[in-house]
Amino acid sequence: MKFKYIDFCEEARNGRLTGLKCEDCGNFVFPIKGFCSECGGNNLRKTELSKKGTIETFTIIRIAPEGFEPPYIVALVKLPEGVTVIGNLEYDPDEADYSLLGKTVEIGFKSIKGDKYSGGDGISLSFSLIQ
Amino acid sequence: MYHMKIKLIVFENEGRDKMREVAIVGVGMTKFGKHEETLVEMFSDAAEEALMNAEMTPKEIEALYLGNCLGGFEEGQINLSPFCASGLGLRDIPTVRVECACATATVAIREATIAVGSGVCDVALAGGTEKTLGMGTPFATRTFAMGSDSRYEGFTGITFPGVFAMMAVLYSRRYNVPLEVLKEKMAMVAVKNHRNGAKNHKAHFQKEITIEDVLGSMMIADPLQLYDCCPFTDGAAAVIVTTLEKARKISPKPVVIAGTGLASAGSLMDQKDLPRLRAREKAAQEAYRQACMTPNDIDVCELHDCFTIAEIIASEGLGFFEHGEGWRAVDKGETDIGGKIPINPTGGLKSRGHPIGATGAAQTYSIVKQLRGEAGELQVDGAKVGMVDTLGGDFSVVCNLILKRGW
Repeated sequence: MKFKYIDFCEEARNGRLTGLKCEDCGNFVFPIKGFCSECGGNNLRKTELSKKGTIETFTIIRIAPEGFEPPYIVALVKLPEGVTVIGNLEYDPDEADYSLLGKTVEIGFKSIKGDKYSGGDGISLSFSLIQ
Repeated sequence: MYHMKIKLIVFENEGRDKMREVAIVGVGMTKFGKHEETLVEMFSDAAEEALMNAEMTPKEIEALYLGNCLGGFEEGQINLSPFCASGLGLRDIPTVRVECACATATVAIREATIAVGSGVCDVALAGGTEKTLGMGTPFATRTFAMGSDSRYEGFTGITFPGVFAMMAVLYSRRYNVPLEVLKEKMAMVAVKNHRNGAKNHKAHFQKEITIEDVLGSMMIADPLQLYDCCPFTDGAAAVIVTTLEKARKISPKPVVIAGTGLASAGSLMDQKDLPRLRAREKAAQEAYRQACMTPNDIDVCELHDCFTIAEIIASEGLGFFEHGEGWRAVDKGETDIGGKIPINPTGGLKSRGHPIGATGAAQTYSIVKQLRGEAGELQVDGAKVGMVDTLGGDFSVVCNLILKRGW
């Protein structure tokens, strides 16, 4: 059985960040997909990814898409596996500065209410600074 | 100048290199800005100008490749291509709507090039039409963000200014350019493109701005400010492509499509080497390979400056400058008209405006005018080869065209 988005969401609801590992070339595959982006193989095994990573970059969204209340922070976080993930940094935008770059965060999940164009409700990763 | 590793050997067995040579014989575009006309009417106006430009009639068009991204949201109109053909009095011909986010119209032109090149038809119309102003900023921002990965990225509330803001920070870190210094050079990109756009009577914004204007404007997505961002706009643009053989019979100045490149990448998280963009490097290499050219051969370029940092990143990805050096080139004026490689002499997306599904055709319009020597005050002297670069989504698609004089 292929591991699909619905399974990713189910794992997330249970607190697990899930990706795939290519058994042929060793590449970590995230977001999940049917074939490895590096070698093209489909010998992919479900794997739990680290829930800690470092902030690579971030922005404070001040003009938001309809349905979102600015300001809020979106960040890219790099995991020890080499995978980059996107999510919301749970941090006061008024206090945010570039000293946040390189800081370690813990990864959690939050449910996002969908709109009529989103295909239902969704999940966003949330990042919290580890003190 | 940075040299890409480009295979210049043409493999005779590769079908794609056996195609007929294709040229542009007519270009047209509406003014970009607020329009009362419908999506179909705007495209009709652009196509009519292109037809007049080519001294052709609509009945000579054998296929339509129509770019449009958001018609369903803008006018409640999908399935736009047959209506755009009908707007030109055409029925019976094959029509296709093309959608590749902001790269849409360039991809439509590439599809038309392939159709003519392969012999499916002899004359094709390609371009795009888009009306984003009527949606208002929050909803337009929502629909534009649909170009990112809706499952894994969209629920974070990411926006395209936000994506490029994150790239500006990454660029600063990776190449060790203090963010304040980079911000000032980014502001210089905006100043240059507005200076050019002020002389482009079809641009959305036709006014010059200062570095202080940029750095004093409202914050959109830190560190990008309002004047780092291109505006939402309405507009349409169209080009007519045919075989070079036919083009030489009907046009004194046919513009040859010497190379095209189109490459894809997955979501933002699939990118491994940011702020370098894999799709752009792949697309550009293919375009250079087909044209048997290198970045040194390009005399003028219209590239995807949706945000100021995007121009700097693109100028490196296309091979005009080393990675991490594009910001210096802006400072030295190397991208000005009269500089080493004039970039966005018509004002770019920044000043011309960005009606997403039409942008690539407007860029192509501008390069064709440059190569023909019809760019007026914005003319790059002696331009013989030009390049179009259009990026879609958060780096998931890039399309490049290399155009050269065919006379």
